[in-house]
Amino acid sequence: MNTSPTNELTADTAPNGWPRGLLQGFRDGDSSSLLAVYRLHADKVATLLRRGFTFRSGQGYHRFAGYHAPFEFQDALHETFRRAFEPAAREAYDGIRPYGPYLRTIAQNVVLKEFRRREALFPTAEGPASSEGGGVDDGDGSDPERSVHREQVRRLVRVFMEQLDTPDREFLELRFVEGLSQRDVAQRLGCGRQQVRSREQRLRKRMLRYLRNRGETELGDLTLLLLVSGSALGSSLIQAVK
Amino acid sequence: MRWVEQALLGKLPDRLHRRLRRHLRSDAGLQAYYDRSVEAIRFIEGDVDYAPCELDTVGSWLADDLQPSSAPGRGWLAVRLLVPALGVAALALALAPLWPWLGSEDVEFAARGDAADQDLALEALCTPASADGGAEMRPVGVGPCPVDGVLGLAYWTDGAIADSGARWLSLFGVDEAGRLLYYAPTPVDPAAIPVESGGWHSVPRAVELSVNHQPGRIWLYGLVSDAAPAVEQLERWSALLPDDNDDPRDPPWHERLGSSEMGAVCPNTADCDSAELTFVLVGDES
Repeated sequence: MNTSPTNELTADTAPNGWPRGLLQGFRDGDSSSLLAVYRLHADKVATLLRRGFTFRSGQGYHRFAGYHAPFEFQDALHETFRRAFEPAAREAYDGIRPYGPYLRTIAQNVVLKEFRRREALFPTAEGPASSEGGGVDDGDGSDPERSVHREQVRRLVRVFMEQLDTPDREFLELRFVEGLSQRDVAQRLGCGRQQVRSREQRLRKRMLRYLRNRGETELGDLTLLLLVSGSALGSSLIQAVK
Repeated sequence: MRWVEQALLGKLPDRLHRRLRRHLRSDAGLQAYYDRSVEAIRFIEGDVDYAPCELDTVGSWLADDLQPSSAPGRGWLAVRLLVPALGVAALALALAPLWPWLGSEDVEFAARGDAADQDLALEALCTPASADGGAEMRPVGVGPCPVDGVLGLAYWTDGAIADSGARWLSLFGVDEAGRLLYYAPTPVDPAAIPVESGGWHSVPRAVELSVNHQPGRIWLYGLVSDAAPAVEQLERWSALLPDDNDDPRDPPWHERLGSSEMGAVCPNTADCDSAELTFVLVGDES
């Protein structure tokens, strides 16, 4: 099934840009169609949840700084699509409007539900009108513990990379610093794309094992500190906008 | 931790995603381990906001949500194999066409994780020996596995495992009484199984359960190594297993036993891969 959205409306294209078969499958709750819709829209929703947005609540404006902690981020992404794929939500979607804004509203509601649950913990302040996006705060917002934690992970990864042989380091350079696709890396290295995929996966596995072996001792104390300090709130960074 | 790594490598069977998520919610230590593993991937992949494998993970969670609740975990259904009056050896051959189908759900994770690392998965299927003219063959866990039946075994490896040279698969079980059950090698046939690469493969031998198996839980262990173990090594390992092996934080069993126990076969435990599963054999009265 072709699931690519298109701007060129044809008899096979639904008003929202999806293939008609996909829209029908979505309405019917067909699992392969729903997963195809997820693949179409996951990137934009993920970016919203990761980078955050500004919203108004009561008299004040607040900024949701985005989910930094991976599991929280993935959990929110999952919750967004889980709600979007519920029968009532699918029935409420008319298939005429673009689906992206509809999904963004659901994603924002997922965040705001959590915000309202914790609203008493956050002050309000005056600020600009609602906006989305903005860069991810490298300092991980206002959570210094998590920022330190993340820097520890980065340090371990750097040490891991220093231990790699030159070909593996060059491979990572091409793939993730220069940002070449697997196909382009294969061309550059004169090998098959399968070999590139395999090499990438092997390096990832080695790094995870390295982190497991080294991280337990080097990060253990810090993890305990984070848990004790109650940083579960940490990455749900909803800040009042000044 | 084993499940976390499998999930991040795209190799966690779909049936386990829900359990892993539950563990991540309830176990702050496991969640911290998961988070820093993903943060490391984000960093090594160019300091990205999120790694592509994160979207794959959420896709797996959604796929799990969308499975009909009445379906078995892997979406497997019983298969009828026409094995009239076949001996055990012939049954093993008859199993062979089953594997591509058997792994239908796993084909997806194999495709996502088609890498050269040496991850290993096991599956066991059983069939009642009393079947006449056809045998209902199904993965353990989908239905009861009668102790008067026949056990078939299969393993999954990723695409490039054979590229790293000759490797061997050894398999053994331990029952509730702690007795070692030889599958490969055995005292009679000391050969391990040459590993084939890429996808599911049947083990070319099947087990008549009535010969030496008793009703109750069986723990099945598999190891891929460069050197094939001797039966004496299986005996030693089986004395140390099973341990507390149903925790996703556990590393693979050969790492749990450590290099002191595995040294002769796996001098560097990172060069070996192991997998395990458990199932229950039921007797006539069950």
